[in-house]
Amino acid sequence: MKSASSTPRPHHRLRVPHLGLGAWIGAALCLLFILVALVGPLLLKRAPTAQDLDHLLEGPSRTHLLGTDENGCDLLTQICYGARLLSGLAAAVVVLCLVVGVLVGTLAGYLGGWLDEVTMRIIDILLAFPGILLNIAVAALVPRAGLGVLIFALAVNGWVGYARVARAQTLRVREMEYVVAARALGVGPLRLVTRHILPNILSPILIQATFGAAGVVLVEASLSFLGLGPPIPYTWGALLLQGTNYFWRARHLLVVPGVAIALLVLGCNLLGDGLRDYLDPRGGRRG
Amino acid sequence: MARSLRDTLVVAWTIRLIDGLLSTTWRLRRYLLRRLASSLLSVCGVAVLVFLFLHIIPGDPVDNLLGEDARPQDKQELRQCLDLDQPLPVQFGRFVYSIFDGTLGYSCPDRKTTVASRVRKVMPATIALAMSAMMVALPLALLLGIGAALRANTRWDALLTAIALLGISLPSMWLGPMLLYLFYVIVPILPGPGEDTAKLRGLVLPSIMLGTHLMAMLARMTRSSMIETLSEDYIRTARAKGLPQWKVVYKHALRNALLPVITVAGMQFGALLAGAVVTEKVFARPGLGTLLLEGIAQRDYRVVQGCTLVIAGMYVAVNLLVDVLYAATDPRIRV
Repeated sequence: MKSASSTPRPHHRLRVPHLGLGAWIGAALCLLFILVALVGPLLLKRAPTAQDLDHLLEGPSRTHLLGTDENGCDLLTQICYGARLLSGLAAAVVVLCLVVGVLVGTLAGYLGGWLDEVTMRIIDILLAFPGILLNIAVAALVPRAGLGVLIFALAVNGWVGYARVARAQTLRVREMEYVVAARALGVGPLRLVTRHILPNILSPILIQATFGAAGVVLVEASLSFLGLGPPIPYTWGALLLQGTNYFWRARHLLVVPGVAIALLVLGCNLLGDGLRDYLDPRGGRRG
Repeated sequence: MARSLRDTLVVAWTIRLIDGLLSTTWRLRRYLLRRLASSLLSVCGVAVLVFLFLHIIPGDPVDNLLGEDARPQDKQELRQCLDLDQPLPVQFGRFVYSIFDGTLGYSCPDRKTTVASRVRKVMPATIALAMSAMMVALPLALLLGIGAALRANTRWDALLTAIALLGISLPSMWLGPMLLYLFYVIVPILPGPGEDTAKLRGLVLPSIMLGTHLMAMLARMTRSSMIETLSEDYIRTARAKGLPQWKVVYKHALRNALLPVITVAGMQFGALLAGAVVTEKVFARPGLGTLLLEGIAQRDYRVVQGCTLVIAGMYVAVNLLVDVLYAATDPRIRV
């Protein structure tokens, strides 16, 4: 007897809701990251900047599971505190960009006219910079780098992706019958957007947010690597920079944060891919 | 020899482009004009934004650049050099003038060299890097993507997709040192950071580092584009009339599937220029990115401004070129 999943189904029938294996792995990786970020710092007795001067630049051992850096700081502790920092940063940037982007995108798409025109021109201009370049320029010009600056630098062009998705989706559903019907019933634009349009365009935006989070991690790493990050020694990007500087003497310093970043980004990408396949199977192709 | 070859190529392509444009319909021409106008608008917007960089950041720009406890005469000097003692419209006028007279302003505060001359000196290195990264990325991406698409939903597909996924997930500043470790320390066959930067040998590892992300991205695109194309009606027709598999794939599917991939590859060229910042730092190569970082480290605002402007300008120009070529060559584009 054939199992249910292998029998060919007509395309239009509702699929059995299942995420692929990749999506589950991705979700597991993301969950692991969140767990490390939330619970990790509580379990560890050391502070991320506490120095153990008897063990400098040492590889993994029993007292220091992932080894130590040149100041004798425990790498595992730094990774955990770094994860906490990064999760906050990523959440802040993604939420900020999402709110701004969706607000701008849906309004531009729904109201159209000059508002749409102006929005699109602004987006064009921001897209005329290769993403990371604008982040670098903003981060470089601020006198004292800090977390707020980093969030600002990432959000300057981060909202554009959400705005474009939201606008395109709004244009798609704007003329649909249920929206027209609601408008005919006298529903105002604000209520129409929040109650009728937004819930129906949410899934591509969520997918965008998953990829956006991966982007935040990579850009933070790049900025900190270039010395433009916040002055905190244990952000993952800063750990990566430190690892590069001491690479010839202690390889674990580079390998550990590199693998950590790669796993997290991989998790976000897998989750995003899986969600996209599940939520809108014929959604736009992107790299 | 190389120069004459390049000139010939440039001439040939220009003729081809003009030829393509002249044979277009008026509708297409109107589209191209509109595209040109919007590109110009983008460039203007970029220039304004770059100009405003100094002013949108809260606080006194000179304090920001030098720190609050700098000597007053240093501050005064920098203020004058950056034209910050002038009213805003005058500043903007001078900035625009410096773009058109091709100097991009003098470096502050020493006023010795123009930014443009410094940019021009390092530009070839960065362009060479970006181009070789593209040459690494595109063929590999096609290979991976087509391979995965032809064996869609098999173990091979899963393997190739996993490689591509890994490629977009690995941070490049991690990949670079790892490559160095492999091919400079363990198997010493390639030059290390700062060595042989002008030679082809020295380009190998940097272009792999810079190209990997793009390669992975394009491979994923090629795969989905190819799978989509292979399910089109005309492919079924081609199969139905008995064409061999390779002919269906290479003559019918590939040409159509690759068009969007090539377009995106062209548009990502500018992103490679920006990505070169990190690559050049890892491999201690001279280039636009190194110049930009120097400018940032020395608080030389004009250099930051100039590099940003040049990279963004090239980005816009390449995008425009790709769009125009696309519209001029693909009869299906009806705008």
